[in-house]
Amino acid sequence: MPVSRLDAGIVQKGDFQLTSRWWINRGVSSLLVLVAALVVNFAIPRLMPGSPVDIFSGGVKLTREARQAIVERFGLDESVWEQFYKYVVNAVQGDFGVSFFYYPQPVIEVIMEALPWTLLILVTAMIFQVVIGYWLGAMAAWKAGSKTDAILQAVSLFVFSTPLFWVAMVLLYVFGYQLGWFPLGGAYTIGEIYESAWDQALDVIKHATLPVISLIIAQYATYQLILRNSMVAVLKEQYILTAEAKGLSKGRVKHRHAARNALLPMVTFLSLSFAISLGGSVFVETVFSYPGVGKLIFDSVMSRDYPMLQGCFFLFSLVVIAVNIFVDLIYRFLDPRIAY
Amino acid sequence: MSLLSIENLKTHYYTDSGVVKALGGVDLILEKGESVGIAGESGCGKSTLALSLIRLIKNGEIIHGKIRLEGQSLLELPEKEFNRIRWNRISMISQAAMGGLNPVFTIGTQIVEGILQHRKMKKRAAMALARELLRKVEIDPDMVKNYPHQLSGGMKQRAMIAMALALEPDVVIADEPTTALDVVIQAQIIKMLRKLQKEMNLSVLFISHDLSILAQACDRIMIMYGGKCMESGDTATLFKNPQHPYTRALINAFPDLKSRRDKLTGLPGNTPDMTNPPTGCCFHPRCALVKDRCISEQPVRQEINGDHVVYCHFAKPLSEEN
Amino acid sequence: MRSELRKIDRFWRVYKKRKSAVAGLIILTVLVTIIVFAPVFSPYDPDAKDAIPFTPPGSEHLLGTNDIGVDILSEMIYAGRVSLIVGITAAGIVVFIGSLIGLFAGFLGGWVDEILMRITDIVIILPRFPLMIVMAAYLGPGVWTIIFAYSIVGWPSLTRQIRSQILSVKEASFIEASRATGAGNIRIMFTHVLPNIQGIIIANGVMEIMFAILTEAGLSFLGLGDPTQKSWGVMLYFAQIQGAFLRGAWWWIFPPGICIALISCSFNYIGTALNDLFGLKLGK
Repeated sequence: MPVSRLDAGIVQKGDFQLTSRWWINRGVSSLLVLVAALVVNFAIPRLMPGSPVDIFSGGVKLTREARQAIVERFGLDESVWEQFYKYVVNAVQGDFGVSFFYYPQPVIEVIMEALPWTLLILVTAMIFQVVIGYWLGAMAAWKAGSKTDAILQAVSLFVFSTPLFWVAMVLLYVFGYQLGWFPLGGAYTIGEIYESAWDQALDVIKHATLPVISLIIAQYATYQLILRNSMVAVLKEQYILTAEAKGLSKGRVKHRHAARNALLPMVTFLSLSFAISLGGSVFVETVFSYPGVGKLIFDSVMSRDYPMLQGCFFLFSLVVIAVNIFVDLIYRFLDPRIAY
Repeated sequence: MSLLSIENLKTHYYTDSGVVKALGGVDLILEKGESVGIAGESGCGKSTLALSLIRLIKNGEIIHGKIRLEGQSLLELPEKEFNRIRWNRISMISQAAMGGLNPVFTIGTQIVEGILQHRKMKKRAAMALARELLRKVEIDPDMVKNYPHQLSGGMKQRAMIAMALALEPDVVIADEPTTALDVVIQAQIIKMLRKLQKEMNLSVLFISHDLSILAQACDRIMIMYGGKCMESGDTATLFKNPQHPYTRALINAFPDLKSRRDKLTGLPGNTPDMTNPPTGCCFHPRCALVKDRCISEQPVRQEINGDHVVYCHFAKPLSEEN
Repeated sequence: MRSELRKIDRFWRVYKKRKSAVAGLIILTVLVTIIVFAPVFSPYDPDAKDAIPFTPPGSEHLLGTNDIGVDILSEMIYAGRVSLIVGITAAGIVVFIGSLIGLFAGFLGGWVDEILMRITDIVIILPRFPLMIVMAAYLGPGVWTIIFAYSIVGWPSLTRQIRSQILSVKEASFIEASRATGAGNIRIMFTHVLPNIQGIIIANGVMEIMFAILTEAGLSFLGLGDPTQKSWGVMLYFAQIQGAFLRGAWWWIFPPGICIALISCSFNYIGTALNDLFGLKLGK
């Protein structure tokens, strides 16, 4: 081994080149997921038993003209490939057809009105999930093997096993219906005229509180368990000993030296967690009648509004892809060893 | 008054299979500007001794003994006050190859962190000092901006040394600082460490399983086995006139330079189980010269001459025979 | 036979040291006993609609009645049957699919592995609940709809675990040995590799039951369950849409959820313990 050269120079990496390679990698895998989402969306109605026309019409008895219109709209008389081509072209332009229920409003319009509400509660909840999960996980790891650790673990496993929608129902029943501390549903008080922007914000916060708490309860435990396990492993590392030998305070050793390393597995879970929370939004928004995409999905199931349902699913897939890329960037930032 | 004195130090670990009596009463004196080596196989208690010195024993505790730094007793100090001793007065060079440096911070950040913890100074000044230190350990000062994974093993170890010397501590503990490194780099680092020690008049406690390294790096050597001192004396005397059978075994069975085995080739048997250490002299199960007395009676300290000390019932008769 | 017993005995001795694992086993035993012997434990006919609607809990109806005058305790005991059967069936299918794909991907390697793992990665990224909802909506509500939807999206995480286990088992010497005797891939897979990862499969299977029960509850709550075969999720669906909140009928809202939480928590405790024990190779 050429000792002298290795010992004298550092391993140089061309940052620009690596970054562009990373984007290409990311792009290809994102594209694959996107295609998968499109294929699933395209295939499901066509694979289901019964004539696609009946499915696309939501089972309503149609006149001949209406049937013909549907056949043309989806190109059902053409070959599968042509249908798929048409479908993709429409989807790329954001055209998922017209909602059955909100007829004649296009699906995309309805979804775009609902999306900000969903993102509001999801992102807020996510921040709290991470903070609480981190805090409890670090506490458990620091006292690994103790009673505190065992209790924290048992509680989080229990919380993990409770159905989210039920947690939401209980919160709504206790804090909404019985105690009256929070509104019973919606994202804001309908018809209210606010005196100031602050009043309006307060109203929105009040409506979002219970949904956000439900979402936090649904996911914090996973973060806690992941962080605990990685932190326990990190605390055995030699560099923790170095940090302690430096005379740093316990808090600094824990939250700086141990945490930065232990956080990495937690960060990889972020994107998966966001996808799970998107699913969770369906339940939470249903229970609290919160006007987001989740509620839209539930309503579409109820009213058999298939175009809407598919639009929502596709949009969720897009959000998940975006979050994946974002999380990858965070990971890159946190772990200097990663070079794509 | 000695710079550092350790008296009858006993440290125990608590494990599922019982109490591990890792240190069974160790005495040691370290003078200003002196380099003392601690040698022994793995599990002999040498690393426990190092960790006891900076009070970082996990799953165990120091149950007995005294540690004095310039007369000040260290074991009674509250944790907060002892934190001011750590790094500032007693620092530690740990094995960079075994992950002694935190992978997510730059070298500079890690050096500066230690400085700012104990000195009131501007961050920029601390960073300038860090660069100066890197120059001292003979690596490019610009490496303050690099992460550990971007450095070779030898450079990481040098950075680690720079970090530990940043505050010019009274005592530096070097715990196997060259293990897992190439022999050539190993020699370079030892040479540099020796040079810095002389220049800065440092007192170094050098821990290694490899006597050949200690021979190059230390003024005095203490041989440990089963959590106890077997023999100690200045390096030349110890090599010329080893008294304890274990010391001889260590010297004769010099580990092969190329293989980095932590076990002795010339000595049969295993290191003792410290949850249940052997009676009498703890080396007796492996000693070729074992007598009944060794099994029943613990050997006491015998001075051969000056500070050449040995713990063996038959030390004198053997040397007379020679 | 005797060695089998010794293995079980040794396993049990480690297992019983974990309080949560033992608690899980006790809760599960109690719940399953009540569910299996539903006719013995249920005080009324779960289909009889002859009580006064929205009766609060009392001596006659321990957990009160619902909007159509059905005794909630009785309804709940029978609903447990549906939840448990659907959960176990769906988990069984997922374990079968997941293990099989993981086995093929891990053992065969090469392009088979490449393709299967690409698909796994994609399925794992797609938002699974919305996907299940879309599928279930097209198929129409029902028990089999839920089982089908869960089977389609539930397998990838298991596949990944099985695959990584296989990769570590694959290099073992006994595999090399059986290869040397000329055994074919399929034969080695099922006679040598599979038995070595059965612990992991069992542990994951138990966890999978928890996920399946929770999923069934969730989809049923969204009205995708079978209204004639009431599970705990279906009960809560009706509670939500039939005015349990407005009538303050907490006895209709709380108990079914507690049942879901208890049973899935017991599977979770047991599964976590099994995972640790098999991971430590103590179970062998």
